[in-house]
Amino acid sequence: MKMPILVLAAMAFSINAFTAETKQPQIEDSIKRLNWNGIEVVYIEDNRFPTYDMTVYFADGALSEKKGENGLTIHSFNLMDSGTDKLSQQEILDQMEFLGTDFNADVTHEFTTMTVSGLTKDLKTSMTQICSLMRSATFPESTIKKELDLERTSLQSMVASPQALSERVFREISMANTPYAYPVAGKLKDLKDLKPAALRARLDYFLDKVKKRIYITGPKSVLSMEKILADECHLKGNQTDFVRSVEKPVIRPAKMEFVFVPVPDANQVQLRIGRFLNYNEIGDKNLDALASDFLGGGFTSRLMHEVRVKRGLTYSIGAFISSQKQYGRSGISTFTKNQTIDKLIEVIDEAVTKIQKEGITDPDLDRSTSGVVGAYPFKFESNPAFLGQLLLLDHIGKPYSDLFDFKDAVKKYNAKDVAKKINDIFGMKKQTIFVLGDKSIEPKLKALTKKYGPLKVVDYKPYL
Amino acid sequence: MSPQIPRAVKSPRLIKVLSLIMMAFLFDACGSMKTASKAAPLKAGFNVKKVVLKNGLTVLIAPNPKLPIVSYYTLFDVGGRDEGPGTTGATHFLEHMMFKGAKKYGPGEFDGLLEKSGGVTNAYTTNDMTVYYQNIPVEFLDTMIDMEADRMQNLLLEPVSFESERQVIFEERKMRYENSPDGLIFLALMKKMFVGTPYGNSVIGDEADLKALSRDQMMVFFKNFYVPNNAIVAIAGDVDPDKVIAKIEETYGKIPASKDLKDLKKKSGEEAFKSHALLGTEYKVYATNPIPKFVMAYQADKVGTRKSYVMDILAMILGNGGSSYLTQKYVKSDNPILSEISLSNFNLVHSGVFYFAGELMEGQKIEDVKKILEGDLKDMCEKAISARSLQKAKNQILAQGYSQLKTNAGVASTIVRNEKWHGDYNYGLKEMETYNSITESEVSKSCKETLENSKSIFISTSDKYPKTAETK
Repeated sequence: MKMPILVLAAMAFSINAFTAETKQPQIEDSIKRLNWNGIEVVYIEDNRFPTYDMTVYFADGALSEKKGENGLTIHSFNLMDSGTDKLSQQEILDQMEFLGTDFNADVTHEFTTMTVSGLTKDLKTSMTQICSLMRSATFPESTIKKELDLERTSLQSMVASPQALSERVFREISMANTPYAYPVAGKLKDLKDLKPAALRARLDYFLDKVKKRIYITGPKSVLSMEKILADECHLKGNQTDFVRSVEKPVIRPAKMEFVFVPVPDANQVQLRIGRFLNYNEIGDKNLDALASDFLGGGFTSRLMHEVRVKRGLTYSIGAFISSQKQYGRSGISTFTKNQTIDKLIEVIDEAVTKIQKEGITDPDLDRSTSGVVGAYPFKFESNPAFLGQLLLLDHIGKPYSDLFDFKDAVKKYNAKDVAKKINDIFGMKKQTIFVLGDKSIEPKLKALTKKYGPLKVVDYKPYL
Repeated sequence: MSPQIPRAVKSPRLIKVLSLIMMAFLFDACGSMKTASKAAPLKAGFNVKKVVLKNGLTVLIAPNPKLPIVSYYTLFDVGGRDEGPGTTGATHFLEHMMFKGAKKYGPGEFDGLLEKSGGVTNAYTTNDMTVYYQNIPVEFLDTMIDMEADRMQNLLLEPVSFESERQVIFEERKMRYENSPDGLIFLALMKKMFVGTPYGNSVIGDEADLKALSRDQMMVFFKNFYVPNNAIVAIAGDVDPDKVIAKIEETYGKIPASKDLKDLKKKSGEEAFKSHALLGTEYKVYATNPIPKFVMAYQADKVGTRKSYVMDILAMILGNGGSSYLTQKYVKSDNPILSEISLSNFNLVHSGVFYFAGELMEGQKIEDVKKILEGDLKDMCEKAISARSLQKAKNQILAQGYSQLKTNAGVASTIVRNEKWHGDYNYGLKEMETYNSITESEVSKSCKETLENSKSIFISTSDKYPKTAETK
């Protein structure tokens, strides 16, 4: 047998960790915890490729933006490459792209991440440049204006992307009256408020005042990053660093809403059914994963079977339950032709109601339980994805053992537990039923108002 | 498990990204030399065991013991190009039906067993090929092999699901084309650039053809092309190659080869793919985008020629990333006229197209933008190509390539495609040598040949256009 070129000289974790004789420490041992200048660092060694991925987690997000600051956080990170006193945006981009370095940021309401990936041979040059941007970005007004003009065009074009428009409008409507409803990137009307000084101040706040954690994967050589992060980025951890939390988590009573958003010339209708989940509904991620898989995960889920396989009403349908530290969201997402939107809502309603009335059988559940257990090793195939899961566990304050106990935890749920969870989360009387499509389908929707309550017709433009 | 996106038709952009995979593993080989066995020669490429069964089925096995999981790719050398008049969309429709039951594993069993194991499956159809893939726990591999062999030989094409799936495809068609300005403009591009050739058909199919397609027609199509001597199987993951090959011989080995395949392929010879595009023509197509979008397209080489690699580099130099020439000139300049622009070199097995794609800034007029672009073509090559921009393009190819090979699926999809396109699963080594050998003057020469001395077709979409396509 030939020797593998793709040899895993120092595998992050052993195959044995996933066999029947699972020994948790084998996986846990692959996760190294370090302390760099007061900042906790989580490291997974990976020698397969001469590349690295590094994520800085900040324990605050868009939630702390004050009035007039909507979208400030994400823009302060995303526009870091807009220029410094020494370099123009063009020069910065050219250098980063020349080295094959990728940089991006993600902001949620609760937390923020900044990720850098690239080739280890250029780590020092790339990271030094990233540090320079973090500390010296000046957000030149002319460049910012151009970037925000591009963003305006993109938002104004969203009407031509019914799926993206649906996600945006549905999210805000279904989470209305909570601090999490407003888009983290702000809206068209907010872009004019994004000024260089405010962007710089926001970035400084994150770099100097907010609690940080760092997640890294790559060969051992990437640990040389420690010195760069301390000396060039001046990142350090303090006991007093801020951690975002809502002191009194919001409670949003669940109620049924029926919303229609007309868009011109759509020959296909987008349907979303979902709601905001209060903090006391989001405790059990494993049960959430099992319930959403049963209802709308994959080709053999209950909804896929009823809607696509049996009736050919759609191309795809999926269900999800997701949560952060203090809130969550649930949803069913699908689309159909204009003529069958009423039928589609009816079939989904029947499928969920049937689970409520008749429950589900153990053999039915076995498909999902076996499926999520069998899929478990795929969580670890990519180390950046693995680190992302650890990051989320840290954020919500759960131990890493939750990840490694997943298989056993999922198996303990029975059909009754899952049916109850589906009913609690997806019961139709609690949902925002959201339809986006051509004006001509309105009569079909009005015919359903007896069952789903008054139809609220909403213009999409204020949501852009 | 997140919601699965079912049965995709591959976009041109994805093809471009995937094509970059091929070159990436050379760097992997180089990078691994420090940690890998010293016995591993630099030019060994992937560790793959290859066998060709007596019935012509090519099998590639790439072991990787990291985790007890496997990625399983099956490529059939049949795509939209193999459809005749009135049967557009047959290949893609058949791809959907391949999940609807065979003799041993009846309706519902393929997805049911696979998903119960924890696996996921999907497929895509392009102009040139149809690819099925699964990511599964290794325990399920034997069953997976049995299921794949069963549907290659004994597909049911059960009538009830045939009709319901037809409805599903109409919805997919709307999603990908009619309600997607990007999809619609790409469809128009392929139809205009490859008019009169098999590449000029819609891969999902024209609505009338889809409505008329019968189960009998599809069965003929299936029997013609879903044969072992027209397929390649690639499996990457935690496997013992000898054991897997034994299982494959036991299952697939029973399927007879097609004797007619050679004749069927002759019908689609090179001559049929010669473009008859009306170069120098402009087309306006109605779509739902309020701000106009456009493509400007040139004829290009088929996959595998030296010029196709040169044009890959040119596309990177001109259009990849925020610092690229086109983005700096039209998007990030002091007076931007576009909100986005990209450049793609889309190489098919028998032909190719090299095209700009962009969206206007609000307030700009398509006529003005077209004039500016065409005017700038004269000195674009001179201004954009330099030793640094060439090296940057090569570096970007390297960085993008690595990420594609971090999963079993990335490895399996790479080797199966290299084997099909080049008859060598390790062809990426040669490709990397090619990319590395490309010079500034070579890129410059090809750039001028294409942008300065050739004619293009120009297509734009807007919701202000009449709802019937208009030729100018």
